[in-house]
Amino acid sequence: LGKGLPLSEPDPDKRIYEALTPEQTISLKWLVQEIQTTLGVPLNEVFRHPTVSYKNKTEAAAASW
Amino acid sequence: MVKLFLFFSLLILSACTSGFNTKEDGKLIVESVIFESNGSFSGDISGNETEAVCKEFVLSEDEGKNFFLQSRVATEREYTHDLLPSNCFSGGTLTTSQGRLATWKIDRARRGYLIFADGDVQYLYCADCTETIYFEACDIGCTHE
Repeated sequence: LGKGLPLSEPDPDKRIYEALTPEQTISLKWLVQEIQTTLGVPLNEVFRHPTVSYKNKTEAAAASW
Repeated sequence: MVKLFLFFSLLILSACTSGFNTKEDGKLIVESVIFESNGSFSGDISGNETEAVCKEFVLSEDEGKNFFLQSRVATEREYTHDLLPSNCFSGGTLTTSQGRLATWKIDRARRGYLIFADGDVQYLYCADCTETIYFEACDIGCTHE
């Protein structure tokens, strides 16, 4: 979700992911709810990418669902 | 006929000497490498790597040169999103055999980059590096069991 900034920073690990826009947050909430109801995935099994893999730790840091 | 021969001779000579000494032309040979960081911890990546673990990621000069010789060019998308990253890294400056200066970084997950003095950036991945100091190779498309 979002992109790491500034793009002029040549080391992508040093970029900081921007916060979600209100529209992205609405979309994310809808998506997670659909995954829950359609596939039966409980909320406690939905994770930010950096929680389950080595990633830029600012990715999706402010996302909520 | 002689003019034609001279023209093609100059053309071939030009092609042989105008390389920018990048990975794209397959001739990235490092002449000298200076380490400013070795066995360092970035703290930029999520996960369980610690400063103590990263202190073990120490590259020799030959291993650094070998990385640039063996690695392939990666896209920025691959480097940023698709390839596994690591907090453990080494870095510094280098000079290519054709005299280009660059800042470099290599991480334990086999990613690296070069930032040339003119601003060009090349992202790299070395699946073929055989040193056991790196994570197991996992290039694009690989899956861990």
